[in-house]
Amino acid sequence: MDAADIVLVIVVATALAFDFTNGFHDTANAVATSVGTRALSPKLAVGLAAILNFVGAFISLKVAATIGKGIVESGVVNPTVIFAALVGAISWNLITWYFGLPSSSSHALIGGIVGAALAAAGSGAIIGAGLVDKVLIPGMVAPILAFVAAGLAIVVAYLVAGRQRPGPAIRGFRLGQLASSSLFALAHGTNDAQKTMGIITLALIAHGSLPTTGFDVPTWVIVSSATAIALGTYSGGWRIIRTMGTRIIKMDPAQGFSAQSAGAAVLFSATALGYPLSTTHVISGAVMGAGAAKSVSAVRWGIAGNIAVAWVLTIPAAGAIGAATYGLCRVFGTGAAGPILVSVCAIGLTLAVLGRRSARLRRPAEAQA
Amino acid sequence: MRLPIAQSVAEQLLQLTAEGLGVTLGVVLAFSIGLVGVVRSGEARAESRLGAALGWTALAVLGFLTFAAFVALALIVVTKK
Repeated sequence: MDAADIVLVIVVATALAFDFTNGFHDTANAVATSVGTRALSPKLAVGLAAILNFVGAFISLKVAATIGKGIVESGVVNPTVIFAALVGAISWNLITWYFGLPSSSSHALIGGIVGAALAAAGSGAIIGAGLVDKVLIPGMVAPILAFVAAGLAIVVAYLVAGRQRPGPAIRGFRLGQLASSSLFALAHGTNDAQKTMGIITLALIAHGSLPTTGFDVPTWVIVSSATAIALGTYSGGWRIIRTMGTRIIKMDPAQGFSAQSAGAAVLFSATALGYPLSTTHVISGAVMGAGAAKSVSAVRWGIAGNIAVAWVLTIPAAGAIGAATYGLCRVFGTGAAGPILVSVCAIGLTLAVLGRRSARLRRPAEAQA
Repeated sequence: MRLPIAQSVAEQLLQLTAEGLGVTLGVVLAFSIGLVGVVRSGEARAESRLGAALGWTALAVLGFLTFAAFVALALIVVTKK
């Protein structure tokens, strides 16, 4: 096993770790509204989302192709660039998770790739048209579309079913949420798991394990990516579920159903077109739309503003971390030493932060006892 | 050479908008109609209005079948492309 093989192993492990954090971080997208309206218990909702995320990962490969060959020139990408991109994305995911902000794992990954490729080969490495046409424009349109679709949907739902006795109607929409949250989880699997598949395939091409012509994702990559996102989803991200499910708006089951249906419809359509959309942006837009259509003041715009700030910061912040990581790796040469040292430092730092946080959470409980 | 790319992006965004809006409204409308059918059918049965109950049940079945058709259509679109 030479240095290139070691770097490839580190990259694949890091990519699967990113996929795990993606599932962990984005669980909220699929289940928050169902948990917030008490349509599903948290445990059942997360379990269902994990299974459907796993299944969804096998449905389509168009987004994987966009990530793998539509954003940066594959010729300038090497495994160290991909490693640095993943470190940027994982770091930003963990930072936003720590503060309970539902930012986009997808944009973090894309930011990481762009930042690391810029650091490695300059602006010539970036496919500007691909980045704008496939990521930035759809990224701006999709949350607005989800906002409008969910807003119109809740108006339709109230017009048609709003005059029914509240008890049976609420129970009905809660049952409907079982279907809509399942569809959203499936759509999440189709769009998000593919991003990791695209990254691993790109690393295999850069390593020389796969031909540069065409873009065929190996089966083991599909299965391992699906498993990692499903395990991450099952682990859950309760802080973000709380923000998404109850803190943006207080939702009723009809609003939850409308928001999830709009989110799933937009995601499925985007996946078919190969757009690597942010599921977080889409569902946040839909939740706000379902709330604003009922009452503009029902939306807690301050929290919505915090989320918007995290959205704007995601690509540049993950890009900056990705670029810095690439620079750090190159200090130790082109071999495996840089990625190994960065991995050890990153794991140590993550464990220290998690340890500090769990100690801080334990302290008030012990004080109460 | 920029124009065809821009046109293609505009067409794709239009498609995204039409599909996203169309499927969302279709799903929610069909499910809401099905729900009204179920609720009204239960009320009619409780009041022993069997003809009305049958009519509302038929509406419920129609609503939920349309809902299922929209879901199936979304899955087919994603898997076929």
